[in-house]
Amino acid sequence: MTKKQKKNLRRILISGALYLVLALSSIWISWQPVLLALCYLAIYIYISQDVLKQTWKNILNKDFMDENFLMTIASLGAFALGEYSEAVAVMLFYQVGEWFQSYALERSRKSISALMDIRPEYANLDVDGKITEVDPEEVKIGQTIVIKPGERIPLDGVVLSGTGSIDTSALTGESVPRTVREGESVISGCINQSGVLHVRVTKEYADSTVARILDLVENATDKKSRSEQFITKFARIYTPVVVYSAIALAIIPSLFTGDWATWIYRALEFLVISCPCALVISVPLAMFGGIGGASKCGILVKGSTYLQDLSDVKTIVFDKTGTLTKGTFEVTQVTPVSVSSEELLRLCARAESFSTHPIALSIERAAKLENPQEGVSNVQEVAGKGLIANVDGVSVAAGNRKLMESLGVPANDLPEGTGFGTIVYVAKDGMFAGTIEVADEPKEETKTIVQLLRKYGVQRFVMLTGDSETVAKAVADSTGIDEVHAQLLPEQKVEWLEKILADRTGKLAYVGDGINDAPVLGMADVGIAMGALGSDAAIEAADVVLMDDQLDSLITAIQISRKTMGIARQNIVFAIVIKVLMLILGALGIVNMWGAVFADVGVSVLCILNAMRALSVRKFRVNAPQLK
Amino acid sequence: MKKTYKIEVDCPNCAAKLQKCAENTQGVESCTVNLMTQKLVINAPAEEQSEIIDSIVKQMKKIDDDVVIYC
Repeated sequence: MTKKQKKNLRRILISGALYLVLALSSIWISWQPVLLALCYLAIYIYISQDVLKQTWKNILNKDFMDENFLMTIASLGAFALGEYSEAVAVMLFYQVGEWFQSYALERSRKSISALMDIRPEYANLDVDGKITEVDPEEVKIGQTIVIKPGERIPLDGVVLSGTGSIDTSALTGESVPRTVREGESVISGCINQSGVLHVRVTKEYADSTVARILDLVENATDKKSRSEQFITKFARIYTPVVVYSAIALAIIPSLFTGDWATWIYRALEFLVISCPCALVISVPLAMFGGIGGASKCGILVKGSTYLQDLSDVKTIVFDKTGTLTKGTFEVTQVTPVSVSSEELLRLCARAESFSTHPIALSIERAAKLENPQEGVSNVQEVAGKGLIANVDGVSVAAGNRKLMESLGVPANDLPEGTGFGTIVYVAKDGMFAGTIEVADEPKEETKTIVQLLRKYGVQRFVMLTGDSETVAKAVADSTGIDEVHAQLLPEQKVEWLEKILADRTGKLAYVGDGINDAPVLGMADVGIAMGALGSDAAIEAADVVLMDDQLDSLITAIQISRKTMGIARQNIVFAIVIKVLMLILGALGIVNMWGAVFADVGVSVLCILNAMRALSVRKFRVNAPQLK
Repeated sequence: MKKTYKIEVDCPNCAAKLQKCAENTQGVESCTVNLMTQKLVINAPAEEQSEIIDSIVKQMKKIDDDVVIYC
């Protein structure tokens, strides 16, 4: 509770008690009318001092069309009509409602902020074996920090010694802990669950992952969505309209009926009902809840406008490598000709054991050799073709068709691949020995995700890639993507995206890994970067950041956006319908002042409670059985 | 230069007033009032920051004294 809330609560309790005593006592004691009026006036002034003062200030500033003004006129009007008790009651009830609203808002704000609280409080700085607790901001690059079990990693760095099990769930929403060893990098914001880690700091606090993410999430609500802008505009027009309607309601019927008291009273009720608070508060709160819930699932949304756009995505453009596919090469097929397939793989892996090319690395992984470099000598790289090396005294060549042809292998003997990946031809002692096919395979979940996205109303799926036509087509066919544009340079990607943007219906989302597609990420209605943990460029360029590299998160993000927008819409409709209904009932004299106050604050509180639902979201997993 | 101040604002209406007031203060290039994170961000030349925030605090006293700005 804030200081102001405490003060107001005390005021409400005291004046509530006084009001009760006065109201009850007037049943038994016949008060002097003037004395009774004075007593009510005293309580009234006590309970409404803030509202009266604020109204006065607003009038001085010539900007007075707000709820304070409405309540002041309504209660003073009731006094003028001789309804002393009612005037006090209305103001009292209004204050109670305001208090609840302020309290509920603060609680919601706190619970969302707590969710995002990944700020490390201290770092254990190790200077020559002496450990001191310092503010993470004071630690410099190159210094060593110690992270004990249960502590939050305060800064990004590399493990110098120790092994630990790291809980990354605060950043990625992923609950399975990750094991880190010496030489591996760790990211701030994660929690070390077991083992003591000595870490050399590689980034200052201000540039560390945790500081960047916090900055991003906290400033997310600055970019207002269209719904929020609508509400702000609506409220600006709404209040004056209501005030003039109330004046009309007080004067016009009275001119015909001559019953001024009744119609002025109804006009006052009309004013009380009309406060637009529920509308103004509920939509931003729902958005804030949605953004908070998303960050709990490892999805950073940079503004509520992107949350709204995401709920209306009809076209999705994908980058291929690392997005639809695993982004790593793997041996998919070994076709030996003159040796056994194990022998073929072993020979090739040893010949390529000095290479750092991704294809060579994948073959090495598949061969699982203990000391592949032993016995390998005289490695020659043949630019654009492959390499030749001496393995245990035998010349082994590994590379493309051109390499084989240069060795004198007849072109007719060389088989074609399946078209999916890259083919490595191997020759032993000048004789063709077989092929190894290496491919970047689609992720297991890609196909299911594309099907699910169709269910969510996405109509057009496009793949933009720098890779070759055949590989791109093969990936598209196996994942259900219907449009492919291959062999694109980065600037051609931009051109294609412009074309697709021009004839889109609904919103367009671009999903990529943030590596060399920053301009495209920025151009799309919603730029979504995947697997962005630790990648500054992606976090910078994207509108929505998926911290892990699983496409499941894309579904989670869309589900959250749909839910949040649903809640925001419910709140708008609910608040407007109740208000209009009560306004009509009030004008007809069916609802009294109490009902009027409920319509004002009751609706607000209900909308706040509804908005809090946006916070409870669950991470979507294709393989999670309960979600199928 | 952007500078962030912690604020205590509990209704959207007061937040809007603060926003308007800050926008109209001399020297402010742009500003944001965030009701949800309770923050006021002022974008203005570094050397004018302290003068600007003083002026905003003074103005807000006249407009709405429920708004608290920590500086």
